[in-house]
Amino acid sequence: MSAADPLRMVKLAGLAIVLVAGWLFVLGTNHFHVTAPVVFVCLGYLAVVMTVLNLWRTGAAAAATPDADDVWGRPMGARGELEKEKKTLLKAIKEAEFDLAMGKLSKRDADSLIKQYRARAIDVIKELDHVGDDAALTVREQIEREVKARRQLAAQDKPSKRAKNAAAAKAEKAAEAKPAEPAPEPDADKPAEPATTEPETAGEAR
Amino acid sequence: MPTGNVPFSPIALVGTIAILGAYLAAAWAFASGIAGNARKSRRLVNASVYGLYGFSALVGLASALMIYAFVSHDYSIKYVAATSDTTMSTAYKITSFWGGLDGSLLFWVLVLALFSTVAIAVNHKKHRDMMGYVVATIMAVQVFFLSLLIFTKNPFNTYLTTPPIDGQGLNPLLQNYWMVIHPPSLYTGFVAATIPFAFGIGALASGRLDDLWLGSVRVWMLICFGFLSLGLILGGRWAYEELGWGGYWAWDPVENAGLMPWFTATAFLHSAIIQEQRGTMKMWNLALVVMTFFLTVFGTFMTRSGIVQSVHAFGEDNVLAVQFVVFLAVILIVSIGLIVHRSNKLSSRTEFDSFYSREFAFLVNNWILLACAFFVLFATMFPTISEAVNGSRVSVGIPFFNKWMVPLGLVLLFLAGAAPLLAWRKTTRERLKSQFLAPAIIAAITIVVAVIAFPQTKHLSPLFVDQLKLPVSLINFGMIGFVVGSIVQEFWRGTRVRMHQTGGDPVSSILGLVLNKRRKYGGYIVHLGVAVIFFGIAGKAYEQMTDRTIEKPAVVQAGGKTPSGAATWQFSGYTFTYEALGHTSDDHKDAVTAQVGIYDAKGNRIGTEYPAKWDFHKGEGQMTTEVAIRVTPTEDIYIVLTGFDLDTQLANFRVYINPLILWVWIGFMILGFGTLVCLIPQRVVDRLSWKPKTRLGRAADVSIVAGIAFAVVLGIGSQARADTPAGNQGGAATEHVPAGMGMGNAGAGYAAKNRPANETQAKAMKELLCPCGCARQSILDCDCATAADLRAKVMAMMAGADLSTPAARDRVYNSVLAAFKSEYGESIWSTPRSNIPWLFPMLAAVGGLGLLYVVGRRFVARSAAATASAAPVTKEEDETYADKLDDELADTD
Repeated sequence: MSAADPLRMVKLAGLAIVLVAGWLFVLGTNHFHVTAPVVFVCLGYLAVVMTVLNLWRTGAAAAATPDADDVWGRPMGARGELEKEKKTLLKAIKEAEFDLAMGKLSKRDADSLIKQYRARAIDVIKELDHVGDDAALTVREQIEREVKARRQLAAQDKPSKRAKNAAAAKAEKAAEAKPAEPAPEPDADKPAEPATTEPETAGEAR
Repeated sequence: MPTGNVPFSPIALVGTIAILGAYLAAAWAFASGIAGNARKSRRLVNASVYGLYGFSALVGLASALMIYAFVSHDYSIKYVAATSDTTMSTAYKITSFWGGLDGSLLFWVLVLALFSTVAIAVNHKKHRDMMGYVVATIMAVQVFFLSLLIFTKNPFNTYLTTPPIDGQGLNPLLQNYWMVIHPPSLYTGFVAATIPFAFGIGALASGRLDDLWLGSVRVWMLICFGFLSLGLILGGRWAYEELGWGGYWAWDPVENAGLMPWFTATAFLHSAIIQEQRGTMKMWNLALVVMTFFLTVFGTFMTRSGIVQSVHAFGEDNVLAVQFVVFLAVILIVSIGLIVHRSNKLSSRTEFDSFYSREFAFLVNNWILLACAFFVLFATMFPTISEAVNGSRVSVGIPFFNKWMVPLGLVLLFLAGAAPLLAWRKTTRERLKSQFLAPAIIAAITIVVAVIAFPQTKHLSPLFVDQLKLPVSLINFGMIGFVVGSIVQEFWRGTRVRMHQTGGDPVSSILGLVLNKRRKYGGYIVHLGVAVIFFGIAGKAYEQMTDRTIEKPAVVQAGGKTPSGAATWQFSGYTFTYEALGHTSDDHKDAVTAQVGIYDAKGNRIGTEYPAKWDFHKGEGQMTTEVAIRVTPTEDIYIVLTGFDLDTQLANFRVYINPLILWVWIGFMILGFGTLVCLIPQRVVDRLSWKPKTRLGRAADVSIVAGIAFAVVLGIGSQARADTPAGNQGGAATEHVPAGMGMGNAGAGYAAKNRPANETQAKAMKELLCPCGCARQSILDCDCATAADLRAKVMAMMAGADLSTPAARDRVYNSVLAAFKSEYGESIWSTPRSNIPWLFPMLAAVGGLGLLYVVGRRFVARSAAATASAAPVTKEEDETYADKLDDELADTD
């Protein structure tokens, strides 16, 4: 299923050849006279090819060795949640401004609403600045953040004991593999607390 | 090649194997999906996704084989022999695929397979964490329908003995353009409700209940809404053109089966906005998703089990009924169980700042829509409920439905205009006045114009109960004016704001406004479409009808003045002339076609119409009515040939004048266009915006997109029309047809016989349903022999009775109804007389209103308390971050 499969184009070409060959055979036996029955035979042939292809893929997928990098759920992480909240707040501010211009909101109500949204949006932008991107974090910090995010997900979903142990063991292994880094400055580099998953503020309004 | 005497069909064999294979693939995908999600195994989830694709391919194979059997005339397959024949056109042969019960179930499975393939392919990466459960849910539904096919209704069953040489043909009523597209569109709407349901169950099972789930579900529910709307309006159009009773909606159970999920889907589309805005009503939205899916399956159950009687239903099948009941129970148990299990994650503190807020308007809208859905469900099932309770089947006819649905519809219409005028959270008193002023003035002007120009609009109609009468038409026109005024104001003001914000011209501003706020403004277009539909529906109250029997056709002088004589009649300002009666015949059918000339009040000939009767050779004696319709923006002239005698050239006509009906179809096209606008993907909008073109260039791009969308909708409406009667004009019969064909007694058509002589007779006839199995028509409207006989009976009962006072008239009316009830049972009445069908909805309505008020007050009180306790925002903004925020706001549209 990986898009990076180097043989993908070859497989697609093979599939196309099989399809076209089959259709040409059907049309040929009917002297290239396209009638309703011929059309549905061709559609039926397409269905047969897709059946074989997908039944093969389902079996191959079930029997495949799990890819080490193919994790169950990639945690959104703090940054993703904050970006989402920022986007909804920006839209809410624009909507309030629009409603004010449309005359639906009084100046006082609109200013009060916009002030609330702006205050929260500024807080979010500040948190985003503190979160930073991966390159700014040390390897240990990246691992710790990843483990923290996975544990949050795991806590929501009540994973099986085996999955829990596997995740923790993986994190520990990765931590041991890297050399120890000096302890970071607590103010500047400490990752921000992730935002809540269910923001209360207004969402997208079109 | 037959082995012995048993016919062998390779198509049937491979088709059955394909269905069995699909069943196994569905079971595999179900199991691997559940296991994959539960064990967080990516490979098992991938396996379930491919299993779904493989299942879809197998169903595609079975369907291709089925259609191949139709087009290649493989009558060794029973289903093919029962629903097609060699003389049918290819289009109708393909239509036969879903023309019967067995094929319709396979068609359902096919459409769901196609939809689910697209839905999974598009959402696979976005919803990785719950995809296994989503696939499993879809496959569970498919397993159910496939088990019906395999164990009960296999469409590939063959004859055990020599098969027929030719098939029996498709039901003549289904051989109509609208029937080619109506079932696929309605099924698509039904099936589309499965996808949001699957995502809902997936979200509940996996615990991922954030807004990401909601966005995907909303899109699919919009698709469901669009196709249900399309299916309902096409069904109405079919009924209008094919059934010949002058109407398009009879509150038939099959029609109601499509309408109920439409109500709940509409409710969801509105309350989902509240969840996105305020993060509340999660449990409510999930319940609506479950309810919509439940109602689609329930509707399928109603039409295939025989628990309701309908001209559209597939018939009675007790085994199927039991299977559906079990499935419905499983849906409810699993859904409710999961919702209860996740109730802690779903519960949220709902707060509304004010009653005068869009949130509260949406809440009221939801309750009204649910009230509509449950009332329609209650009234549709009432005959079955009454039969189960006290052994007698009590009918509820059109008047009963209208007494409730009309006022509920008017409230919804008002909300369609009022809600856009309200702001989120709170609209102050001054704002209310400025927002509502212009639409209210337009509403008032509309009412005044209606009263002056059309005094008949002042007529009082009963609402809820006979004792409560209001000028419903006037209120309706007033509401339409209000909604149109509201929507126009929104577009006007929004365009002006955008012009001010962007410095653009009006055209590109309005296009930019719609595209950037397409959910809002697409929704406004939908509301406008609803208002136009209500305008069309309003005309129904002013429908006129007359019956005429003409002995012989007239000889028409070319270019002559308005003819007169025995072959002409005047009605509603028009003159009609019966000019010819002809017969034609082909391999497929016999057609008897009349020619009717129409003249306006000034004597100008304005058209020639050809109403006909068709007798399909394979139609088992069931003639179809081919109405002739002359369409104008103000009214339709609808002519039905109700009876004829080819030997004597006698003809019976029924003529309807249906005001404003064209606007029902136009309103739908506007509604469909609005739905398409809402569905425009963001990447299309981005592509239209990014090129550094002139504003005119951008506007041109957008216009092309809008034009394509509108053309799609217009194409459906304009291309489709009734099949034109294969008439020869002028009586050149090519084949002798037995005298009296189509009529019991030569010389008299049933529709024209025994017409009521006074209003009391008409009222009684209108209240009695014709037992012939027609589209729930009263004996006043039905044109069959049974209705004619029953009309004679009513007239005989009232002969000599004292009708001089209202009390006397009521006495006679009630005694006639009582006499019919004692002979035919309560099912003969179109309006139930017992208190229960009135009491239950009344109690529910009063209770619902009370609950709405209590709940609304609590939400508003919570918000007031929260506001009082919250610390005000007093700190000054950090200048650096304020600038950053302003930059980001400038890039946000």
